[in-house]
Amino acid sequence: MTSLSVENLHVSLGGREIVQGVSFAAKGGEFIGLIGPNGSGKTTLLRALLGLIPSTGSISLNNVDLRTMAAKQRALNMSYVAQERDATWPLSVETVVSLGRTPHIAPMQQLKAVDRDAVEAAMREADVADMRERPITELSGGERSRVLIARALAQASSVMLADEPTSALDPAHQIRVTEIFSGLAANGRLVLMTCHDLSLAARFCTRLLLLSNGRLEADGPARQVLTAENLQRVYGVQAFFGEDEDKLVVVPRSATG
Amino acid sequence: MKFGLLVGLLVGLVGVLFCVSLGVGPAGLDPVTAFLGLIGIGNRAAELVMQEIRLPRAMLAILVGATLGLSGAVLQGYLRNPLADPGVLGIGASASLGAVLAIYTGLAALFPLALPLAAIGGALIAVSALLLLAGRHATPLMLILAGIAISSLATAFTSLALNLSPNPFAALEIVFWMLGSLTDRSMLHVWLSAPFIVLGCVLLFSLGRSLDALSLGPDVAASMGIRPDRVRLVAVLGTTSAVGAATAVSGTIGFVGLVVPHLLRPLVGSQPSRLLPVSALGGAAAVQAADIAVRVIAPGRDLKLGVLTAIVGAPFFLWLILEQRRRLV
Repeated sequence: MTSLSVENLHVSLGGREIVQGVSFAAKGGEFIGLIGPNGSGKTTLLRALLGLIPSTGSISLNNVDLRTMAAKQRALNMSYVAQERDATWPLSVETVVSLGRTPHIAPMQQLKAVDRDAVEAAMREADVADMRERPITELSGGERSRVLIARALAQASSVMLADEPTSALDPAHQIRVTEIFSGLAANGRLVLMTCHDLSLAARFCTRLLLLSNGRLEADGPARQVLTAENLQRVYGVQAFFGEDEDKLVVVPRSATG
Repeated sequence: MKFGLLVGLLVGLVGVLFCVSLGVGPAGLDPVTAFLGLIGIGNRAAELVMQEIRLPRAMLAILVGATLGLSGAVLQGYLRNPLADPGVLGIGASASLGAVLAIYTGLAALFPLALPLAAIGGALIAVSALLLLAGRHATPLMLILAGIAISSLATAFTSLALNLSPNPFAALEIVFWMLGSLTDRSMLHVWLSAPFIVLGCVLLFSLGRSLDALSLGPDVAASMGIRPDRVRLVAVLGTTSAVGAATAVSGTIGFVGLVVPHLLRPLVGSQPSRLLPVSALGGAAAVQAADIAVRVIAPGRDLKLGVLTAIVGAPFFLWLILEQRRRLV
């Protein structure tokens, strides 16, 4: 089974230490919500895990040091949904999703049947098959988000990192997108998603990591992480806590910091 | 339009223009004489005209045009900017400076290959400076800034050479060379530039898939196993080799590298990898057509190719901008 282990990870950008000694271990089947205030280091942590920026400490995937892996090998194991949803060119949805097969194709080769199947499956899973011909630049934010998730799905990696995939989406799209990730985790993948909607994270994620100033403040199930004391200390908010179908509901109601 | 059909049509267009280009010239040969001359069984004069004058000219038009179209498409894809062209890296301006110095110092008059060799030397110095200036982990923006700096410096030195030129004839020769032309080039020019152009184009063609991935941003591309540093290096070296050699034999031919990818992009669903071969073919067709036009419009006046591409290209570019604005509003 997939296992990701991060030990004492430090990341400095422009002379400032953004991530300061983060350690956690995770395995396939987990849907981890990475939460924390703006500037707490969530995106930087994801980018360091992907090897996009230099970091110190250890990151290992299935007991192999990620930094020694070739870029292509890492791409076969880990996919990424970035927070930015901009697309430079008006590519068709199908073309965008096909890009996810990039690490699977040898140089100078075309997509093979197995790649086409993976693209079809990814489009179905993210429910974008109906818009395959449409240019991505003409889609709404929610549709575009789903297309970019389908792109990452087509990469068929065992670990998926998503940076605020639900931001700027309406409630229905937020739920649909999160359900896609939830389903992936249920099928054995490891999903790590950053999120600002605490109730959404509490409802769908199997585990939450709370970051504050580059340090891990709390790690565990929602009820253990989303306490009044933690929210007060990390976010500087007082919140309403409720229950809905056995799930925690958290609604921040006043900023105290 | 189907991609294969589009490529086929463009190949056909380049082929037809190649034949037309071989048939046009002040010698006024009829098609049969021209053909016999080309394959070397006609009269001596026709043979000379076809093999020594028209064939190298038509071949260079294809090489230079393909270079401009392809490098324009690659740079627009890599810089993720539809307004990029082969000039942004300052390679063309530096190659021009090398050529101008060869004319200025009189080397070009001593032996004919001094000019293209000096131009290629200028391109090589420029690319070294570019890579040093931009640094190892340069972003596209830093690359553009470094390119602008190099381009400005090369243009400044070119002006200096003009300013200090020993006599009006040298100055005139420099100015005329800079206007860009394929007139009176020999097979030597073809054999000199072809290896660099082919090498550069092979490098640029190899970037297709990386450019596709980059259309979703550098981070996502890297997460798919694309190495941005390598893409940048290959793009810069490929452009240097191809554009440096093309400029060395033709001078500066503007707007082809900017307009051709722009025009063809919608026909390939905007996919950068598919844009590469069609832009190379489109560029070859455009330069062929322009080089035929300068001979037809003003026979005997030596209208410069670069002047024509600018006169046709600039308004066209303006129209593209207006079109884009209309779509945004």
